[in-house]
Amino acid sequence: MNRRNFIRSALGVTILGLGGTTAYQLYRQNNIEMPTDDNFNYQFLNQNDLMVLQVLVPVFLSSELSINETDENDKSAEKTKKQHKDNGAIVTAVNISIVIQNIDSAIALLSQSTQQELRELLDLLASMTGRLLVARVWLDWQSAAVNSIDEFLNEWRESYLTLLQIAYRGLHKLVIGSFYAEASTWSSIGYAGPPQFALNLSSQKSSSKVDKVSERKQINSKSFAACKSKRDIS
Amino acid sequence: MTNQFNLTDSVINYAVDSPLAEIECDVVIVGSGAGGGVSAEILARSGLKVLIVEEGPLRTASDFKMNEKQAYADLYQEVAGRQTKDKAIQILQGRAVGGSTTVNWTSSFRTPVNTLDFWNKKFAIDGLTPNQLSPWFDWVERRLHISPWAVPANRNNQLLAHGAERLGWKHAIIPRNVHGCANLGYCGMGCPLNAKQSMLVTTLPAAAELGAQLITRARAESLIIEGDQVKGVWLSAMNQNGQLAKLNVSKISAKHVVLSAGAIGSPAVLLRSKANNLNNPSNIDPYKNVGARTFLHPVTASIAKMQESVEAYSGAPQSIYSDQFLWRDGVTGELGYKIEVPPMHPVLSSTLLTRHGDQHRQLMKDFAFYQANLALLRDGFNEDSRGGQVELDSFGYPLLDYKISPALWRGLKHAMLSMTELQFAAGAEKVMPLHMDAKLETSWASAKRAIEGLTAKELRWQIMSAHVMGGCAMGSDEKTSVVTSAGRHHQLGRLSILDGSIFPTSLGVNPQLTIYAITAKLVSQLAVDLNGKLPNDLNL
Repeated sequence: MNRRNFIRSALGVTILGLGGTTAYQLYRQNNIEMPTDDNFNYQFLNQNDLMVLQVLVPVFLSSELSINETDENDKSAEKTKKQHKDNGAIVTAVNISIVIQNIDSAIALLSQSTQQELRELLDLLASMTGRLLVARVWLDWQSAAVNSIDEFLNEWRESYLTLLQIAYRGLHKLVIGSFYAEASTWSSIGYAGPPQFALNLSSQKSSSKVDKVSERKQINSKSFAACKSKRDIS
Repeated sequence: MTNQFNLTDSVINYAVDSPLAEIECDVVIVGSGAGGGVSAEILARSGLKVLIVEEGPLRTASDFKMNEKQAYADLYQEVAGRQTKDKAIQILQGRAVGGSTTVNWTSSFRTPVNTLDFWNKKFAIDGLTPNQLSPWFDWVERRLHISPWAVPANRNNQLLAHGAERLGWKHAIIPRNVHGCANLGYCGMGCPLNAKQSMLVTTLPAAAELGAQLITRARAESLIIEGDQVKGVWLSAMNQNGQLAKLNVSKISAKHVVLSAGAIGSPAVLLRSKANNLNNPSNIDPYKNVGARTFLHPVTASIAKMQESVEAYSGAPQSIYSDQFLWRDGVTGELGYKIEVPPMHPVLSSTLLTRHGDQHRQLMKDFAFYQANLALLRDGFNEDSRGGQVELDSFGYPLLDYKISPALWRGLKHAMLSMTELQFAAGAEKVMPLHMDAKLETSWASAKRAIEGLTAKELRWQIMSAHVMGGCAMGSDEKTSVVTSAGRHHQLGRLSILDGSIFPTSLGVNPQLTIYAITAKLVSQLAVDLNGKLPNDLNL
């Protein structure tokens, strides 16, 4: 069995366990759409991926969803849940979209073969089977219960199938890393952030934006001081 | 303290600039890390025309914002998430000008005598005895301002010393390559003050000032080989995401080629050359040693919740170590390990806690109270510890297949027990071994029981590495090694390999100083062989 079929059948079993029939009916009835109206220029993720991630990311991150709300004392779990009920999925999506943008930027820098593996995984999650899962979660999400997707992630984590463990670990790293990369999360974990005096000192040093500005002129004027070169022979 | 010469004036960036079709030079150096940096300075100072090729970008102090998101994206292989083939081991490795020296935690140890003796006896390596290397260590230590850290250790490191003291275990202060260090704790994201004496601020600017040139975002695709002589290198252009943009855009002709692409990169250049050379690839790797015996110092770690705030992100990341167990069963017996601490920053720490949802959130709330220990295992000495094999994926990109041997599993478990014992001795409230099945333990007795029951299995045990070594081993016997004790390729002329890839085993210490010193010695001889004029301070 190849990787694709392997994951597909494993997923199928999981979804059956989650009570796929209800979800399937919902899926058939409603055209599920989630807000993805940010202007970010995604390099890797497509619309289907965004839909999948908008469901998965919040569950990875617990009930404290909002990056901008890091006040320890606001009983955030309850409050956030309530907020979701009040505002529907929009609030959730806006905050989560920063995490998803970070995920996209990170994947863009991975090796092409790792990207290929992630593409397979995300395609499957967004495929027919995956959409069932998403539909099921969507239903749960509306009622502010994330238990079943949480269990679903746990099943992956504890699976005897190596591929599902890998998928869990891969998604975990991307999602969790992309969340705590944001400075707005730091105060909630007691991280002071980099010392400001050092940042000030550092910015006085000469800049080297070599990736943004072509160095061609400099190179031409200096030619290669040490090495003989012939440019563009053709 | 700051580099006198502006490196950016000598750089051409293949992700932006149009490539030079043909370039001639005396020596082309592939890679700008520990091996490439030292090679560049010494060859340039000997009057040779040097070209350095680097697959990563040039980033300097003003770009370093002590921010993980930016640093991992800019300065590391695969956003700091490089993995072995089965994804069981995460490898932290630099990918930028200066290589891993730009992002390492500055620990600078001389090679253990046991290690050099073993190399001499087992692989008949000559010229690299402790006595013969001693003046080269002296030279490097002067050049890079290496000395034991004189400032009080941060709390994370102090707790390692404290625990070791309580247990009567050896511990000592780590020498660091810093000059004007402000004790910030952000070495892993590039030093914003140019205090770390990495290749980026020392040897590379020195070489550039003498006319050496640097091409960034360029991958050495394959060697140009005629008969049994290397004539140069084909370069491919990389894009700004670090992926291949265009194959074979530049032909570099050189009198000599130095591979310093590291223990995963250097074997990859040879393997690509083998695959690409239509004429006669048979003399590149006749005995199939290339990429074999690649070592990682596999790392296991445990996190302790202390009563008081530790702030393990602040202050010099590594300043105390314990070698209590480094040679616990002799050189070739059960795998020994060195105990150190890692710095804890939000992204790195949060991704190592492999829970999700509220459980993860709960763990992260104690972030500032965590002390972390790591143990790096000395792989490659025990008969059962043979390291990994570098392969190429379908994009010509290297992939390390590293299988964990029974001896290594035993070592990992032993190390986990020692680290947690030490943490409880240091006053930990709770300790969490980094294993998918572990939970917070509240006493040494319960932790011991739990660790003894942990599954020794890939993907369950969380294993990392920050040191890649081997893959182009040196040795006297061409049937079992790739290069001679002088770093010269056994079969191909005009080719040297000078980096951590030539180590026949791992070291048992953080590798940068060993790479510097061995490279300095071997490249000085190379400079003479190429009719360069070796400066007096290098006539050692």
